[in-house]
Amino acid sequence: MSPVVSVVFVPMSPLLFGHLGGAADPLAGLRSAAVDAVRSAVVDATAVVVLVPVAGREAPAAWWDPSGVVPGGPPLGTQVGGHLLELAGCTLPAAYVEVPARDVRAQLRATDSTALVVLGDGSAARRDGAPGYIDERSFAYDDAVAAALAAGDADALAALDPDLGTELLATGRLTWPVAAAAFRPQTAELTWRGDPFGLTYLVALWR
Amino acid sequence: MLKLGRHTFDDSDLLVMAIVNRTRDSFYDRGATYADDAALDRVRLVAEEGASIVDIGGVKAGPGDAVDEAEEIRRTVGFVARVREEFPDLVISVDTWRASVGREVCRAGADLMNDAWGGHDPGLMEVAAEHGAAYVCTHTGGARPRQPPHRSTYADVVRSAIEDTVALAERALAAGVARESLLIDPAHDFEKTTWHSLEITRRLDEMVATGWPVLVSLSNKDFVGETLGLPTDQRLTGTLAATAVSAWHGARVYRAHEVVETRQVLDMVASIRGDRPPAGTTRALA
Repeated sequence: MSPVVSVVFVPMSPLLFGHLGGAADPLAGLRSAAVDAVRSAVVDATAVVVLVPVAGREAPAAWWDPSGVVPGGPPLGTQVGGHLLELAGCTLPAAYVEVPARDVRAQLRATDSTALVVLGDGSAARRDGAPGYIDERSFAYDDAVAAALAAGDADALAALDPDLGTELLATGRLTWPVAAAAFRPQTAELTWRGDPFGLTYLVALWR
Repeated sequence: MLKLGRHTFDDSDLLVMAIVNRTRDSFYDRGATYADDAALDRVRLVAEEGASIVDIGGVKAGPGDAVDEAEEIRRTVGFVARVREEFPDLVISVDTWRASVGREVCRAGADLMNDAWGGHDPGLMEVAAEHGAAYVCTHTGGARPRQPPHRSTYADVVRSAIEDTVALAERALAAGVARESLLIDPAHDFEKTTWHSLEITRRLDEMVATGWPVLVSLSNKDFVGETLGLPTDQRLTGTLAATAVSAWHGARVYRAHEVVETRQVLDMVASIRGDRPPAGTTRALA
């Protein structure tokens, strides 16, 4: 039996650190949705495993807060994931698994009821001004991701084209298939989707 | 001494480099000087206003219209020749990353290669050396030409800017560019968050302390807009504030859209520093 009891999908924008957006805090609503979902995911868990994408400039392997407030060094996803867990008030033991590179199954102890916290974003190429400029394939890709997350469709999530995900700078391409292989949900809910900077953020909860 | 192609300047001179875009889509002027005559009118105006350098660019810095080598040459080379002929005293800079374009504009009379993408084409500094042109060493944090920044990160952005630009300067020196013809540019906004560009400005004295002359390109950029919450057409005051701080720290060349205002700020700071006598003083001296 899978030791995973829930999976929460959250974005990894640096702006999830509230101070980084300056006085405006443009992702306050997204942060709040992500923290709520994390809180719900960990409620019946005894341990947390955080899946962290590490690849290229979209998912830096080492990241430093440009404002100097947070001491930096670890991958961006590790820092954002830790921050969301902290905001959710989660004090469970948490292991951080960088993807790709390590075997996630080895991190899942059979005796634990594990909540998976899955960092990852959709396409970053949805308009002029976006990190990846405009790639028309973004729209269908993000729609497919959102549909899979909303329906709890692990097969669809696992079947996303990883090369296309790379071209669209979608960091979730790395972690979503790992989560899909680890857990089949009974219920699924997509609680937030938007692309305020031409980059798609999604929050979803599988249980 | 600073030697920019045919022209030399004292170490205390603060120079305005006026932007002349031969593009349809640059973020600020939106094609205003894409046409030959409009661009030449702009050169006449900025020369009159006190620019020492014109920086002619054929490709928008960010993503936009595809501009291949041939099109970039078409936009810049003939124009450089016209400016060279009409303004023998003006330093002609060309904002390009391509060695092939650099070679053609140098033949047409360019004095300075403003390699805004930090040595992406290593042949460009060799072209500068070959033609006795000056060369700008730019910090781009590893970005490819025209690539927008994304989750840019540095353990220490100032240290990164110093290390990369000084390394480029040393490469250019080894390639044969004259020591007095090399400038370093921290490249505000290029592969940087606003936080990074603010820190670069705050600590610009550390770049100046390398001994290489520093060029700054601040004009109406996003870090000004994000800091003040203002769109591109309302960033002049913020630009001038950053200009004043940079001048106080010792930067030498200022790439700018608004020449008159920039010139006044530089003159004012130069006088505050004690490097320039006031234009005329009688107050309480009669």
